Amino acid sequence: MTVLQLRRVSRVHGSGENAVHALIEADLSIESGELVAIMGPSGSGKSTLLNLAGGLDAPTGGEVVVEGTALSTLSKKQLAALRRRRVGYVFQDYNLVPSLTAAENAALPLELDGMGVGKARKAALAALDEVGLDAKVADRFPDEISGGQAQRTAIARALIGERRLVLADEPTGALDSTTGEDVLKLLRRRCDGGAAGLLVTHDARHAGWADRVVFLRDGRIVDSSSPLDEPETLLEGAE
Amino acid sequence: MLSGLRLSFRIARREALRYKGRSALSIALLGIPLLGVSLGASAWDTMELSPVEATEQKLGETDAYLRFDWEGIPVVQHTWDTEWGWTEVPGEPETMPETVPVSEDQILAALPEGSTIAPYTATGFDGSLRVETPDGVGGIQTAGYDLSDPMYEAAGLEYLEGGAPESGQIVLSQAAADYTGAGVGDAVTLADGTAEYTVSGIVELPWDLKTPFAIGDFFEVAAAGWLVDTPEEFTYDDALALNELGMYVWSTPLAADPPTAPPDDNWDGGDNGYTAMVVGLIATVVVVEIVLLAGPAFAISARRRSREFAIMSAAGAAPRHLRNTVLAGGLLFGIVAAVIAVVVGLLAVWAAMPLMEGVAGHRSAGLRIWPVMQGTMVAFAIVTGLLSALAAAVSASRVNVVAALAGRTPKRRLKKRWPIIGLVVIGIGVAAGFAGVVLWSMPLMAAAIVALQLGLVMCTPLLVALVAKLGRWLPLAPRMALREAGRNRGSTAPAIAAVMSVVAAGIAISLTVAADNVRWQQYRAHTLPQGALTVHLSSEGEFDESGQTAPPDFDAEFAQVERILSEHLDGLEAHRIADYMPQEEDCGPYLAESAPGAEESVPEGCLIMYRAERPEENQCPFMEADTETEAALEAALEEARNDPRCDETTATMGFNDSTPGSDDPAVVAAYTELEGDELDEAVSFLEDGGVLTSDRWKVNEDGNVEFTLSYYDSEAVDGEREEVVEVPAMTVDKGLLGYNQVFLGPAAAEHLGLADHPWSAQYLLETSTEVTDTLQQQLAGEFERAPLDDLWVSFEVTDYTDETMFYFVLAVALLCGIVALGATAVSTGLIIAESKADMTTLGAVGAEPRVRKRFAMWQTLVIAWLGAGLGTAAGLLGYVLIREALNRGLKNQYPFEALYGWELPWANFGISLLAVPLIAAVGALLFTKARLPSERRLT
Repeated sequence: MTVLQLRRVSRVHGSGENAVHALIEADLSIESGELVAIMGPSGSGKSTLLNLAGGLDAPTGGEVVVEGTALSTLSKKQLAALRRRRVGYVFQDYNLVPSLTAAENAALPLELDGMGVGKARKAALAALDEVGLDAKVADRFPDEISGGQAQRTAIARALIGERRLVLADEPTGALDSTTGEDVLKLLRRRCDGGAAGLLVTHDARHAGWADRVVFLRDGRIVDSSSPLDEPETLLEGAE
Repeated sequence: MLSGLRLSFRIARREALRYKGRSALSIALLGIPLLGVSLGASAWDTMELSPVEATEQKLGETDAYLRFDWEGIPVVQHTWDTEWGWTEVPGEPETMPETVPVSEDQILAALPEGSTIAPYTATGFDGSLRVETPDGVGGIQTAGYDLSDPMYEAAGLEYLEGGAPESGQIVLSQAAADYTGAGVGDAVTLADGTAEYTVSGIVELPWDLKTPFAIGDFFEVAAAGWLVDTPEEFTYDDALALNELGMYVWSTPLAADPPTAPPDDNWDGGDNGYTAMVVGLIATVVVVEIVLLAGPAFAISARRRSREFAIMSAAGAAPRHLRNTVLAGGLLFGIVAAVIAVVVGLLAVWAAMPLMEGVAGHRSAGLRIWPVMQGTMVAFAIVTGLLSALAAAVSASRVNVVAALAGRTPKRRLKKRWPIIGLVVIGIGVAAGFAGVVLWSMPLMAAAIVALQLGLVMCTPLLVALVAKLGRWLPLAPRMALREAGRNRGSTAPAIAAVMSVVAAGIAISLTVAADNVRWQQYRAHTLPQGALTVHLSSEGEFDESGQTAPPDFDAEFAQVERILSEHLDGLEAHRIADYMPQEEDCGPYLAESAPGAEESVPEGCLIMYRAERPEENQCPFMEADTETEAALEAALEEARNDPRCDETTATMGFNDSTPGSDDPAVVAAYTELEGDELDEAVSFLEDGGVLTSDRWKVNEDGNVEFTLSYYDSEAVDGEREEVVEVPAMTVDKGLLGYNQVFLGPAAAEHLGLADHPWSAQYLLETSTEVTDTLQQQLAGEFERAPLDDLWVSFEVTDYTDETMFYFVLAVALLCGIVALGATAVSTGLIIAESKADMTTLGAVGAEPRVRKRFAMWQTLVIAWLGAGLGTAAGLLGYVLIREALNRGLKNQYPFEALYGWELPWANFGISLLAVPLIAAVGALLFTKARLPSERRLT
């Protein structure tokens, strides 16, 4: 089943002579259970593609469809609901709300969706347990836990509930290699469980966890490979 | 829904705890005005005694207080809960019957058997004494009570030190002990040295903590009433029995449960609608000021939390979730601010109770909180907290998620629509102001004040952007400061708005208070210039068998006074001021006309009055106009407003029963402030028999002032007769001539049949010595001891100023200055924190550390000056409307009331426009870290 579909999606910032084409007519589909890595040099449009996929940004051309729903047809309120129920984000800088504990951060989408505190906490503890965090960490604030724990918490938040699409923007960028590998294992496991994943990364080894790699350059998808056998060769080819 | 709100409150609470400094600022900005209200409400409620409490305080455990209203004539008593009660002689007789003496035995006979009474005055004291003080001579009040009677202690008299006086001893109040410097065992000496009294104790009457008084059984007993102690509880029947003797009865049980009510209970009707509108206007303006003051702290805080809001948004938060999170902060801060304000206010009132009792002059009934007012304040705080956070909440809900997550501050273009909307809102404000004035609508005026300020706030980003353009010609630090201010308009504009709001409020309050002060000063008759020194000599005269003896020779007596003065005042010159008035014997000729033969013995009821009146053609036509209907009254008032002859106000309609005069140039100069040739001309005019007047409309077409002399005699058949005498007049522009607005020369006075006051004389003094309070007391002591037979000498410094208002305005200015300073400093601090990345860049390219300090200083100056400038403009505009609102009511009557004018509060301007910016700039220089930061920048 197709979870995410980008149909000739473009994003232009500014207008006229100052127009910057961040993404140009990108086509991409991700199936349920599939983890897709996006690679490319800085400014190639990787983060733009991710933001468009999650409805954080709106395309200036084309269509983004999540689980059969075209995002352009949704209001801001409906887009927010989509992010609460169907799309999860994982950022490089963890992006946890500093005034909420790890468990509360993980439970944030559920609480925003109106779930009771007790029930949401129960679900959050389960999600944290799934990413390897115990109850001790659950009640700590973001500035009281390590980077790896913070990123696991972010993943727990991205996966909590019935989400089918996980968007990860360089989730290992701020972590040491061992912790980074653990995080990617988690993502892989989630996708193996039926979710669709989109992973932005600079590291070819990390891309090796993906089922497919998409290369971007100057806003265009220039190549894709499945499975990723020789990432270095492909990267050279992209440049 | 509920869960979402709970989450919002949890985040708000934890954010408040995480950023304690920022939270404290927001709470302080919301709470300071509330603290003022809480303090005022609790202080007022604590010091305000209910009628029953006031009764209990004055009567203590005694049963009642009695005094005669109509001695010996039965009365009907209407009020029971105050010492200033209301009784009537039944039947409303046209002429009041003669009073009949009632003895103490008769009073006791009217009371239940076994009752006792003791002389007492519940409203003050009965006599006074002049006694020696450490600085000279002063006066204290006296009461001739026999304190061995336990009734006085039962009434509340308390010994603070020592005990009851024995023969020849007195007790003093604490105020008298402080004033005379005497303690228990010391002696108090009369000013004339004829007696000394030993102090046996220091006492307190709970209802009078201010008056310096002495009590001794040998002082004259002239009490206004009696304290009563009855064996059983005092009843209404007891009161009725005393009413039969013409007595007013004040008793605790009857005050608590009055047996009768006043027949027409419309004492405090008032214009409740008008009061409600004024209160509404003030409340609206206060809400706007608080919102403008506290709002920027929320706005800046929301900007700094934009990443957090973006994270929440990425996790699925809808705009309403983000709005709720910020609003929850406003609600939380509002509640915390209200609770702190109420608690601190109550504690402050509790701690200041002795001080307040000293100021009020009576003991309180204990700390009270006025729960309704405090509850209203909590509600008010919640509303202002929410309103303050509203703009920030809307802004948070529109966060640019992508930019915020990337750590970028998206470049904000100046949206043309805001300044345009701002200008439109200002236009609406001006229109509403005019409409409010024309239609006499307080809501419109309130709307105008609010619209003008909001309009200015909306235009602030444009102004900041324009000012930023000036930076191109400036050195690096001010150039960067100006451009940063322009670039970060989102932070700068709210900070400027905060300073603007507090300065505007301070300016408007100061202008109103200063103008009100001037208005009240106008009601006082100014008869000499400020600071003029005078000596008054007065004599009660002596009587022998044939009547009163001749008046004293004041000039001869003054020679002694002048000798004493010369010892203390350098270069002393004294000039006699005449105080012209009709002579009593002048009644004779009039009586001869109205009742032939009566002039031989002038009766006591004969009274002569004179006044300089405007001739008929110069009188305001309003007095004769038809004012029967509202429309006619309005038309007559409109005509009066446009008629220059209708320049009278209630302030100029007073009357002095005597008129100053002289042809001594020094005296004429003092009263008219004329100099040189003009003074010479005025003196010659007076010498030639003329008068000076400061009211040009008093002069008729022949150049004369018409004096109307009226003779009244209550005994005569034809009780009143008038005579008009014309005297040549010269107009002086500025005159300190009192209500009569006339200054007489000796020749004119003689022509009018007026003569200098026979029993008093006044001298104008000129000296190079500065006169202090201590010198005044010294002189008073020396005059007291000087052998001046039967003369009362008083030395006076003319002073029309009211220091209270000056200090009030200064306090308002300082308070506003402190709040403005706080708002400036904190706002600047937050903006500088936002500019950290730029400072890092500067450091990387070799900028000296002091650049950061200078940058901070210029940022501060930009915010403070723009805020103070706009605030001053808004305050002046606000006062225009407040003034119109206040004056409108005063103009609807004739004579017109003194109106609110323009008294510019220079102290306030100085503090707002100079002191606050400069202090803030110095603070920025001192407290900004010089070290340039080194960090990764995100943009």
